[in-house]
Amino acid sequence: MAKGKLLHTFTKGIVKENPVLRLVLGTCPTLAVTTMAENGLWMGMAATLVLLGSNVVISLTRRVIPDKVRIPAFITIIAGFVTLVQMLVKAYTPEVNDKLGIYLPLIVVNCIILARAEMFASKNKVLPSILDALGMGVGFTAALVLMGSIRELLGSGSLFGVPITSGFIDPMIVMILPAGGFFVFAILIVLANKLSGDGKKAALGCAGCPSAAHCPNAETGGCEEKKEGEQ
Amino acid sequence: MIKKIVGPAAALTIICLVVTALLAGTNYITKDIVAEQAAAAAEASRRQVLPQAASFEEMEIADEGSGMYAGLDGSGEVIGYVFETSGKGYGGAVSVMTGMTKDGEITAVTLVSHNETPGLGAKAGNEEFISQYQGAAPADGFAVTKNAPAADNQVQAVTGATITSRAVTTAVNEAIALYETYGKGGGQ
Repeated sequence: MAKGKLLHTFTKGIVKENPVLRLVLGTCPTLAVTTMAENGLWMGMAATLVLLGSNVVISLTRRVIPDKVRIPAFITIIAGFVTLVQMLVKAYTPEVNDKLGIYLPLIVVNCIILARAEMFASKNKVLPSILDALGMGVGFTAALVLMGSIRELLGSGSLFGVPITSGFIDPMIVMILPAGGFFVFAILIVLANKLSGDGKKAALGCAGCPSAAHCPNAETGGCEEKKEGEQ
Repeated sequence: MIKKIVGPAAALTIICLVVTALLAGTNYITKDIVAEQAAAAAEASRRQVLPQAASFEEMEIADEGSGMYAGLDGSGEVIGYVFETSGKGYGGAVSVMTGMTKDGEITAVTLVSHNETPGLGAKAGNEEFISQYQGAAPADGFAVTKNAPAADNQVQAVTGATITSRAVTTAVNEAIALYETYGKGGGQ
C-alpha cells in the first residue's frame, strides 16, 4: 500500500469520515458523557483503546474466522477488550470509572467499533487496520472533547474543570442537560458537513454516504433499493 | 453439511475460550487492587464526615439498604458513628453519608451519589444547604420548609428542588433513627 494511502487511512477518520459527526455512529456516549470536556477525553481514549485492540485482533484473524459467524466472533472479541479495559480502569484510575459509569461497559455496543471491524479490519492487513483505528479514535475523541468543551463552557462556565466565565455569567444549565447535548450535536454535524463537503448539495442515497468507498453494495444500487428487493 | 456447521461452531468456541481465559487472567491480577481501591475510597468518605475517628468498624444492623459504622479513636474507643442511608429523590435514590459523634451531634453530611438535575437538585450537595444539618440532632428528625427556618429542626429547601431536599432530609432522619436505636448510650 502506498504511503499516501496509508496516511489517508489515518486522516480520513478525523474530519472527512469522522465517526460521530459524519458517520453519526456512537451517538449514545456522545450525548451522554459530554457534559464536561474531561469526560469526553476519557471516553474517547477508552473507546480508542478498545478500537485499536479489536481492529488488530480482527485483522490478524480475518482469514481464520468463518464468514458465517463473523459478527458473533467480532462481538466476543470487542466485549473481551471492553471488559479488559474496564477492569484496568477500575483498578488503576477509579475516578475515571466513576465519571464514565455505565457508558464504559457500553463501549461494547458502540457502533463505531463493530463498524470498523466489519468495514475495515476484516478486509485489511494489520498496519492499515491500526491506522484506521487510530484515525477513527482520534476523530471520536476530538468530537467528544469539542462537544464537551462547548457544553461545559456554556453550561457550567468552566473548561476541563477550571472556572472561566462562572464568576460573572450565569451558566446556561440547559447545555449540560440532554436537550443541550442535541443542540450542540446538531450544530457540530452541520459544521462538519460544511467543512468536509465539496460545496455541492449532498446527494441522497448511496452516493452521499461517507462510507460509500467501503460499502459492498455501493455499486449494485443503493441500500434502500436492496431493502425493497428483500421484502 | 455437518462440516459447514461444525467448522464455524468450533472457531467460535475457540474464540470464546481464548477471550474468557484472557479475562480470567486480568481479573485475577486486578481484583485485589479493585477491592483495595474501593475500601480506601469508602474509608476516605467516612473520614470526611467524621474526621476525628482514626479507624472505622462496620456494625450489624437490621435495616436493609442502610449501613452503620462505628468510628474508633486511636485506643479503640467509640467516639462516633457514620451512617449510609438514602432517600428517594427526583431522579432515583439519593445516597447520603452522615457523621455523628457518640453524643448525637451531627458532624457533617455529604451526598455520596445521586442522579438529580444539575443546577437544581444537585445544589443540595452544596455547603450552603448541607451545613444546615450540622449540630445537635433533633430526636424526632428534621423537617423541610420552603421559607426561612423558624425552628432548629427546620431545614430550608434548595430553591426549586423541594423533592431533593426532602430526600436528603429523609436520609438524615433515618441516620438519626439508627443512632437512636443502635448508637445512643454507648451502643456496642
